[in-house]
Amino acid sequence: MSASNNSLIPSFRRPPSRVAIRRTPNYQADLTALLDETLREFDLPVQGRTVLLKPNFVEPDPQGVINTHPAVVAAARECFLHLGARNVIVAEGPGHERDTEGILETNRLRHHLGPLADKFVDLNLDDVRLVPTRTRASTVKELYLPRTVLEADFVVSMPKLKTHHWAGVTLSLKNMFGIVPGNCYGWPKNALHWAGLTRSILDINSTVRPDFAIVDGIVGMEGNGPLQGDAKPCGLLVAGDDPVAVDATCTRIMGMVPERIDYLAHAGLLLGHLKKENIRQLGESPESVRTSFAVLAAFDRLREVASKTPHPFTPSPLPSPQGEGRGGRDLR
Amino acid sequence: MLYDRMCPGGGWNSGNPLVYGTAGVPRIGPTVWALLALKNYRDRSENCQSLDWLGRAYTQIQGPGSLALAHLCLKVHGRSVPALGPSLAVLNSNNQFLGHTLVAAWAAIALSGRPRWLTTEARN
Repeated sequence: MSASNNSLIPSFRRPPSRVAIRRTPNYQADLTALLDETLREFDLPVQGRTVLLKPNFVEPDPQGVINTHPAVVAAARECFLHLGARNVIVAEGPGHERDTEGILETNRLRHHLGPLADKFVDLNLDDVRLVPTRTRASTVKELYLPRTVLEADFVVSMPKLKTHHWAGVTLSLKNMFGIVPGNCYGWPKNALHWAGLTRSILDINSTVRPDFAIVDGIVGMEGNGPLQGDAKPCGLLVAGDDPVAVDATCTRIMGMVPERIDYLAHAGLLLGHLKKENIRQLGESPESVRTSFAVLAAFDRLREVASKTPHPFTPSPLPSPQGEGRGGRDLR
Repeated sequence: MLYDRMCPGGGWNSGNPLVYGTAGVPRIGPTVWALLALKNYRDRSENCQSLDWLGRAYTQIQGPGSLALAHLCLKVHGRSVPALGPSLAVLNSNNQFLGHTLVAAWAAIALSGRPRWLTTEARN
């Protein structure tokens, strides 16, 4: 299992995190060289190990706006092999579409990686094991998780930089929804939504905390994300070994306040750093690359308001999951 | 209830037909399952719209599972489709169906012709 799965650490005991922001003009740039230089700044413990790359492949996406771009996935795979990884697997459990291969072909993953039979695992159909959740935030006390994820030594969350019409944003933590198998939780994974979206995100990430995150922000999505929004070219890759810090940084880049996003605010208590003073930025600064993402009206409150007054860190009460008070659901 | 969930213009997806006022995009799998479930209502306009959508989408399908299901559904409803075998052979050569038993099963069912257990029965 991933080395960082034991790291439920209060933020005041956690050492500072590092997040790298790199500019790149497009997907045709030398992403391998850029990521190689970036990853070497982190001294990652992947020598001789199995690395699992978890991109965000949701639906067929010929325009390349919804899914993590395959060029980024291919570059990451090559970089981890350069770092001495014994094996690098790309794995995803698409939440809306059972025809995984159709998504991969539309996304042109084979064009970038070659034949996929020995490089890609469909997590929706993998063998599973029942694992107690570490935070027990939701009504789901145990999760069926794929063997491929549990046996990986190093897990990399590779999301797209997008808004989300329920969560506010979808980044490296929300991306981990895709490790939960559709064979057990359906298409889409409504069982987890019913258990409470924020709570489920916490439970999944406390149980399988990504060791690293690489965010595809070369072209993100704004507006009615994560599927029906508009392309938002940003020309960025964001990477770090603390997924909470990566998501906080990305949220600031998007012109929003991470403390106002429920799941991030709560994740910042135990799973990683949220506050700027605890995050050391490498490469560009969030301020220098900030670009305001359009959001649905209901999420206007997440936007950064120009103010000299520090925002108090006050996580909102977790919303009640739908299952509570109505008999709940036995999700085992 | 199924018809309530149909996407504007035909077809179904696994989410909502409308999200914040934007029409949902139909997908092959849910459309096939809905149409097979509704096969006894062939005269309803929703069925015709959805079959029309499926017929147009058929030529763009890139996954073997979706191709097999779409082929099966169109044949059950009496729509003409190209031969399935050569297309599946090409897709299998790409990634070996990613080793999915389910996809292989769907392909086998679709290649077997028009299964009796899916034969359309007209109902007024």
